[in-house]
Amino acid sequence: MKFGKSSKNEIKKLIAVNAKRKRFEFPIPFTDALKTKDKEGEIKIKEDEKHGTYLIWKNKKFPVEVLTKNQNRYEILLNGISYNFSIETPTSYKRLKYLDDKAGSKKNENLAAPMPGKIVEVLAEEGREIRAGL
Amino acid sequence: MSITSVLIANRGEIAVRIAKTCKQMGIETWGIKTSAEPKAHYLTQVDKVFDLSDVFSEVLVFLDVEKLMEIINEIKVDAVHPGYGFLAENAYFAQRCINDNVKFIGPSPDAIHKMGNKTIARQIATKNEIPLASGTIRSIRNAQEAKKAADKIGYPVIIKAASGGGGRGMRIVTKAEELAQNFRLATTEAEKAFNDPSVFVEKYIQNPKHIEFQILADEHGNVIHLGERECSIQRKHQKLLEEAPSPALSPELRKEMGDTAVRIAQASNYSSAGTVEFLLDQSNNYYFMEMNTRIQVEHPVTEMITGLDLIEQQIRVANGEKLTLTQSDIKLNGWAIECRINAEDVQAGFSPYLGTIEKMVLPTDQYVRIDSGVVEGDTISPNFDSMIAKLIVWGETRDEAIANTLKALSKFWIKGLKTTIPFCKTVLNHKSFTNGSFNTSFIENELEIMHESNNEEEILAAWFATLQYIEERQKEAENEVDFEQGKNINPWVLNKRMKSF
Repeated sequence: MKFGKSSKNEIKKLIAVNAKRKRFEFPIPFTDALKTKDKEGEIKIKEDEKHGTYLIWKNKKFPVEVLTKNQNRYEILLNGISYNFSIETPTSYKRLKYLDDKAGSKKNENLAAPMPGKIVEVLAEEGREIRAGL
Repeated sequence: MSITSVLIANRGEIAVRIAKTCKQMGIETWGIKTSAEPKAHYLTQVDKVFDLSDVFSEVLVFLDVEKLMEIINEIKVDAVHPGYGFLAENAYFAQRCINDNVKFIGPSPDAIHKMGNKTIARQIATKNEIPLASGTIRSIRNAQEAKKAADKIGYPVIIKAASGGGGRGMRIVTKAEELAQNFRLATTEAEKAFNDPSVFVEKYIQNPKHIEFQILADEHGNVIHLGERECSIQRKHQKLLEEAPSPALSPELRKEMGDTAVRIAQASNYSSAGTVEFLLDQSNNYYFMEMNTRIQVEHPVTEMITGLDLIEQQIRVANGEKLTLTQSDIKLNGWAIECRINAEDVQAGFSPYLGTIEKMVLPTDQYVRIDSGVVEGDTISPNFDSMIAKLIVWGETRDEAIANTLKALSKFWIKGLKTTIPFCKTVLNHKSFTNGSFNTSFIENELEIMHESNNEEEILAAWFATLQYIEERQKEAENEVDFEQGKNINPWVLNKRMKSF
C-alpha cells in the first residue's frame, strides 16, 4: 500500500499509539487477521440499519464508531469505552518519540472546561495572572 | 369528583412514565411543548400539547408557577402531576393549585413544607422518638454556635443546609480548626442554591449505607410502606444504581425501619407516595435523614418487586380514595436493579457527554423494563440532565437479578454518545457489590477502575483506528473531497492544498 504520490518508500507497517504511548503495530498491507495475547483470527466489519457499524471478533459483536478525528488522531468508541490513538508511520513515530523526549518546556496550555456548558462571560483578559480560588 | 384530565408539569422520561399510567386509567394527559426541546419524545406520548415553543423565556415553564397556573386555568385540567425535580417539592405551587381548585398529585403543601425543611423535619422526628444522628434541632446562626454544637457532638460532623438536597450546601468537618471556614462555605452555598442560608450541624456517619423506604399514604390516615430501596451506589450524592430490596436488611430490621418510616409519615399528616431516607451504619444502627415528598427516579425497582403502579396509587390518593391495601398485603417478590444510563463520560469524571443518539437498540428480554424519554435521533443538550434511560431488571434472587442486568446491559446498544453502561457493568461485577458489603463510599474508595475494559478491546479499537486512517489516506490519494475531514483541517495543510490547485 502506498500513501499519496509523494511517498518514496513503501511503508511496511503502521503504528497506533495510545495516550500512554503504548504501541499497536499493524503490518502493511493491512489485513483482517488479528493476533491478541491468546487469540488469533479474522476480524470482520459489519454494518446494518439497526445497529450501525460493528466488529465481529471471535463470535462477539463490538459496536464501534469514530467519535472524533483530527489529522492522524482518532478517538474510537468501542463497546462504550473510548480509546485515543494517533496513527504513525515508522518515520513519524520516531519524530513523535523525539518530540516526547524534548517536551517539558511547554508555554501554552489548553484549559479544558470540566463539563460542557454555555460560556456566559469571560472575566479574564490576556496577560493576566490567574490564581486558584478557594 | 374524580380526575379525568392531568397536566404533566414535567418533561423527559418521567413525563412519559406518568402519561403511560394515565392512559391506562383513561385519564386525558396534557404536555407542554417548550422552545428548549420542541420535538421532545414525551410530547408524542400525551393526548394534548400546550404549545409554548414560540415563547423564549429565561425561566423554564416547569419552574414558573405563574405561567403554569395560567396554563392550568386555560386548559381546565382537573389535576397536575409535577413528576420529580422542578416544582415537585414546592409547597407554594401545591397551594396555588389547591387555591384554583386543581388537584396537586402529591402531598399537602403543609407536609411538603415540613418535610422539605430539614430542621422542622428533625424536630418532628425528635418529638416522635425517631432515631436521628445527634445534632442541632434548630438552625445555627454563626460559626461560634456551630463550633459549640460540634464540640458537643464530637467530630466528624456534617454541616447541612436546612432547605438543602442533592448534596448541595453540605460540608463535612473532621477537625475543630476547619469548622469556621466550612460553616461560611456551607451557608454561602445554601444561600445561593436554596435562597436560605440556614444550616444545622449533625454527627457525620462514616461510610453508611443509604437505605430509603417507599411509603404510601391516603388522606384518611392510612399509611403503609412498600419495602426499601438500596441506593448506596452514589457519586457526589448522585445515585447511579439502585436495587430493591437491600442485601443489608434482615426481615426484622426491615420491619422495624419500615414501621419507623410509617410513623414519620403519620407524624407529618402525609398523603400520597413518599420516601423516607435513612443512613444505616456498620453496626446496623439506622438514622432518619430526610423525607422526599415526591415520586423518585428509582421508584420502578419498588414497582417491580411489589407489582404496584406508584403513579396510579398517587392519582387514586389525589382522588380522595382510600388505600385498598394494608401492610400485610405487601409481599416483596424477587429482586430488582435499576441502572441509570446517562450520557456521561465516565473516563472524564462523569462529565455530561453532549451529542446525538445515532443508534439505540434496547434489550427486550423478559423481566426487563426501560423507562426512557428519548428516541434515536434525539440529542442530549446542556439544557437538561443527561439521562438517556433507566434500565430496570428483575430476578428471582439477587444473583439472578445481577446476571440478568449484565445480560441486558450487553444488549443495550447506543451509538453517538458515551454512556455510563461500561461503569454499570463494572459495578455489577465488583466483589463488594456482589457480596453486598458496599456502602456510600464504594465509588470513591473501592472502585479503582471506573469502567470495564480489556486489552483485547483496545487492540480491536487500534485496529479500527488504523483502518480508518488507511481508508482516508486512500481517499485523499484518489483526490476525493472529504468534507467531513475538512472540519478539523490544519491551516498549514489547507494552505498547501490550495497552492497545489
